[in-house]
Amino acid sequence: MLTAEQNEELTAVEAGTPMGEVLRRYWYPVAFTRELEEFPVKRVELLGDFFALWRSPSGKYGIIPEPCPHRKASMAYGVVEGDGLRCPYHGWKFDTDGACTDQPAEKDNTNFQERVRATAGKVEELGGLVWAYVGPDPAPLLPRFDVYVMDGFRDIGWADIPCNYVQVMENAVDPHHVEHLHGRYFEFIGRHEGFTAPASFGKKHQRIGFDAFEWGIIKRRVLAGASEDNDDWKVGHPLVFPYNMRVGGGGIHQMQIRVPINRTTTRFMLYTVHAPEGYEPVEQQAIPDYEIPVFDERGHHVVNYVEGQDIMAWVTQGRITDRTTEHLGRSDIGVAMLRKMFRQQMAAVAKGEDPLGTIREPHERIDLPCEKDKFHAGGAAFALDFCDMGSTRYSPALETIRAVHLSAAERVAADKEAGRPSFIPEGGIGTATLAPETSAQVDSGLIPR
Amino acid sequence: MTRSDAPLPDGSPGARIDRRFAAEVEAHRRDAPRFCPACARDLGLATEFWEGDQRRFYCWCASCDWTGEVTTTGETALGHEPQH
Repeated sequence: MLTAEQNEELTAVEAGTPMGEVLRRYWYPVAFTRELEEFPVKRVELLGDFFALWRSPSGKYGIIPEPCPHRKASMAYGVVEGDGLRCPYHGWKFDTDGACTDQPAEKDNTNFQERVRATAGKVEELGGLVWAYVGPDPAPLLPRFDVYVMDGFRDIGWADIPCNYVQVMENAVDPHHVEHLHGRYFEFIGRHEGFTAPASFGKKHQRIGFDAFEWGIIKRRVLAGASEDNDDWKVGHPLVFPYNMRVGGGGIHQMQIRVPINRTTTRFMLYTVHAPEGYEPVEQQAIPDYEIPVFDERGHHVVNYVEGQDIMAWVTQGRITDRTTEHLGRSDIGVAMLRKMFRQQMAAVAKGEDPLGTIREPHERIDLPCEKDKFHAGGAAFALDFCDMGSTRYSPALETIRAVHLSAAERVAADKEAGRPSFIPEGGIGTATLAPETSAQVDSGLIPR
Repeated sequence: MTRSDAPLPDGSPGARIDRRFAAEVEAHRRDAPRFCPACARDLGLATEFWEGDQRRFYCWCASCDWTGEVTTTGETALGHEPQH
């Protein structure tokens, strides 16, 4: 439970608010690479502001606020010329640094164009996504997280969902929801719709714990039938501050991305790399992207797949959930810890410091800790459940993805019989971050069941 | 990625003001710790949660970075009872 003022502060995304200023210190995916190859200009909404994003024929990207500094017509309808973008209304042209390079109707002998700049952001392409930074200079580097650079077969699911991103992020530090929302509830829906829900999601939690670390919060769980030696506790998986969660298991490596489009709209993206042990590279000309369903034709939530269930829980809390009337329990301690982290970073930015998870050192890749054996459910079995019972069922590449996992499992079996090691794709295999004999920083303790 | 026409939630319960817990909202405003037990400056954040009969506040101090839990007890002080 928070006060109304604290809830307002926590959920803001707008420029000039403490949280909006924190959020403007990070890079965000704002387009698929293929989009700007198909048409070189795009209107982008991010953090409650609108921008024009473009790609020049030479492959250079630019992003500036949508209204033309001249008379506010939309630069998102602009004309790409050279590396710049020309306003469709009177032809003012801006380069990727935001400098005005042409004012066709003005006399050449004035310095007017030097007095008018668009506030340009930074843009880079990585892993089939176009990323933008629209905060103050100097911009941090775009973090090259493992999933964006590792080997494997990729696809990207997405949906725009009508709620504030913080309630989506709070879900990332809420281990218990899995056994209910994706366990009992899934089973209940399955009974009525005539399918069998995956058993591994219904395992009971015995213990949960959370550690703050350099990229966010590592979430750990011990499920019934497992111990602190299992990956779910020993390695866990991280909330990557402030808007991502790295998950995986069964040779699947995923970043769940939750971009604050505005205060009440979140772009939920599932950036997935399929790279099981025994994986044989499959050539991809382009990374397929696909929209996942949120509502059915009756306006009801689609709840017969994992992410649809999550979306239902996030959206039904309200566009901005009222935290003044919630009732948190001890099992919600991760949520309290995340709110502290948001508040800490507001204080850091107010003092002129870089917030958590911004990077300025050049790097090849950032490996995030992430369990390999999720829910101790086994590799290929978990992967196939993931295909059939999760958002991947909507992927245009579903059959290829199933074949990737099945053929990798066959190859591993053959290798085992022949006594030779199987190929393991590089990266994405998490390592333990909890020293032996230590407890997680915030720990629910043992829960007798 | 084109913006989908996100429809309104289907009567989402969280979309309405929940008036059932006005007394608890008031109690939170009254009892949430305001000052840091370590440095006595304004607390940055106190998230209230419940554990059995107890109301607890998970606190963080923006001034000295102290983190801890504060539990309200009311007038009663309870000791433990040895086995007998």
